[in-house]
Amino acid sequence: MPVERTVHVVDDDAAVRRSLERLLDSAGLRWFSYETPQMFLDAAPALAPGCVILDIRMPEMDGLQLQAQLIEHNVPLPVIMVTGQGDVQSAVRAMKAGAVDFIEKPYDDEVLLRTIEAALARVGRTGRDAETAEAVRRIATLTSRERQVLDALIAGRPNKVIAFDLGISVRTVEVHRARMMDRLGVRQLAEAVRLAVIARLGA
Amino acid sequence: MPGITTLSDPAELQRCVRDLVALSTLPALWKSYDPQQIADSVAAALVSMLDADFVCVTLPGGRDEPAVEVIRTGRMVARNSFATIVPALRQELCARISEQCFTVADPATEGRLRVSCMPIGFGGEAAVFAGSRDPDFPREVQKLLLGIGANEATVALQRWQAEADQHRFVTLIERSSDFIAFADLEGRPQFVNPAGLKLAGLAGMEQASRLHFLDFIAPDERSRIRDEVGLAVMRKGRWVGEIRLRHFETGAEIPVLVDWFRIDNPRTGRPMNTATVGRDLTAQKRAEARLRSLAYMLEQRVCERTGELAEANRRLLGEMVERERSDARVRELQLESFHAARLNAAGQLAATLAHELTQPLTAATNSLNAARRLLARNGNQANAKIAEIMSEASEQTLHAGQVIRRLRDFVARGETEKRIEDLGAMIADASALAMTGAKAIGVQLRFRFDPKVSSAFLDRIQIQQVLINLMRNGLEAMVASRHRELVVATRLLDQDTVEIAVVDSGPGLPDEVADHLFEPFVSTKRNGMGLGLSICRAIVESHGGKLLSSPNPDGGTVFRFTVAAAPNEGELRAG
Repeated sequence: MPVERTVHVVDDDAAVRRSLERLLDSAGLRWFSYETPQMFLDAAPALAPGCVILDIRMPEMDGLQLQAQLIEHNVPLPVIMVTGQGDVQSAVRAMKAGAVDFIEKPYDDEVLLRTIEAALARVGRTGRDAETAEAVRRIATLTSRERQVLDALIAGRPNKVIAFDLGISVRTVEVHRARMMDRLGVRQLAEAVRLAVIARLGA
Repeated sequence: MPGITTLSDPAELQRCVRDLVALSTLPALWKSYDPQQIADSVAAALVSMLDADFVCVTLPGGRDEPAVEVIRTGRMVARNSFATIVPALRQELCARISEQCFTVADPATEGRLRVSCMPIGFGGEAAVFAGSRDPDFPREVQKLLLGIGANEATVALQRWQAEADQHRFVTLIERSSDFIAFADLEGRPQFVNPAGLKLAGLAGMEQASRLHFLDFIAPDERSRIRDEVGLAVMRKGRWVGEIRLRHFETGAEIPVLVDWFRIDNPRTGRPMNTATVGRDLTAQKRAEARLRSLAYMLEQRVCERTGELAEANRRLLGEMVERERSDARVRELQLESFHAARLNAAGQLAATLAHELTQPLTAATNSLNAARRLLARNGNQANAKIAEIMSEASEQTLHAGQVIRRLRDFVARGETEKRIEDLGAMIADASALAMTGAKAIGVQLRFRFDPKVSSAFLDRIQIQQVLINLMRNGLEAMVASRHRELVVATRLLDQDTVEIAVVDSGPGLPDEVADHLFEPFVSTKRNGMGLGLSICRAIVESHGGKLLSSPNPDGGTVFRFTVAAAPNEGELRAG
């Protein structure tokens, strides 16, 4: 059976939902959109195979809770969590809870479509060997100090607290942080967090 | 004495001589100078010698002597016949002060009595009266004898008087607690009073008289006393000062205040003796020393107390400073917590705002990208241009999202996302945004970059916000200026610090605005909120830098801020 290029969109914001529908259209992807998590859950037993784009921040039931429900109801669709910017904590939780990826709003269309393609490629399969291997390889290039700083950032600690915990100056933390990002080849902290979480989940 | 020449009878003469001798021997009896005894013996002698019916001697009393009144009656007269006559005699004595002979009524016989009177000494009341019923009384010889008797009594009484005086003076001197002494002109002590003997540690006058007055003086003072003081006494008659004596037994030195003077012979006027009256100053010195030590102790205690007070004062001051410091710290903490609360509120607001803005931005981005993709499918030229424009629009919406995110991070947590950035590129990008429309109003933009520095360690998005803000301010300041030039310059201040300056050629800032420039809600713009510069300063300070303004010497205003130069490898290793 050929892999259906289907995307399920769950977002309470009508404007965002509609714009996303249009973007998916323009990319030639089939989509189903749901206004509320409950509507998605109701439809879940008869869902077409594909990936799910979940907004993490929704009333009544947030993206993380919905993800937990999907696992509980044994709906094995890969989930892409859409987070608010800088909401690293939630992104990490989503990844740990089984989301294949997360993406920060507002996102570049190319980044989104690439993420969707990657998720669709995983439909019906478990594991993400190549990606995990790449993440592990990149994380391994970090020095131990940079690794410490990254771990602290994943734990949501501000630079000042990290500096205090490591017994170094804030300026040095900032420098380590900048070098760490350069080594990982990322521009956003969220990307670094994603790599670290994938590498750790795969390890 | 005319009466004597008439004495022709040898027997009478012989009797007279015998009586005179008897009278002259009377003073030998008067060893103790008892006035009663004197009066008694004179009266007894005269009553027999004159063959008078009575002789009365009256002596006035002194301070310590009672008045004496003695009456002796003759052999032929009853003993008490004249007991009452004395007041009459006294009265006569007062009335007839110049007459030596007078007549009074005889209290015993109602006849007349002849009375002869001789004063004793020069006082009025002392006198010898002799009375007789013989109308020829007194004859010359009787007057003579009466006179001599009175004279003897006078001499005796005067001597007694003198001796009593002397006795008083001697007692005075001997009882005196002062050192009193005199010496002859050779310096041999002739008298030292008991207090003086005691002070010098001498047993008695006998011992003292074998010494020289210099022996009394402390050895180291002797030459001074002999050469200076002794000479001064002899020449000027007196020297008053302090000397030290030597105790003959113990050798201890005794401070004495002395009045040392010369005694001249009253008759010849020649120096006779030197004398000294001195006072032992030991007790006084001791008292003075004690006083001094008390004063010293007092001073000490005052000093100590003053010290304690000063110490207490210092402590109080320290406590005050400490309290002030802790008060300041409390104020600072209050301010911090106030600031934190405000920031927290601002952070929540920013987070909410970020979310609310992110949603439409996301939608806009998606929509733009969807439209662009659709256009790209139908590959004609016009569509390609529209797709390019839409791509730019979506880039800007994405950028807006980033700005919001960084601002939220900064306001909510004070965090900056620093990277090593190329200064020229960063400034050029910021300028492109800031200068939108500026070229149209004829503003010249110039860059002056320090070749020694090309990169810095900073949060690009945040520092660009600062730059855009400063440049926009500069542009607005120059709206009314003829010459419109905006300069952005970089300068390496030291190996760790880069300064970025934005210089405009506007009219400059009024002083009252310049003083409060970085406070929130201060603005020169009609529609300005006045928040821009306070946020700029907060961003620069979170980068460890400073944002300052100063007048531009060529007119206008300079805003300059510092950021960290790019870190080197050494710094990283040090971490």
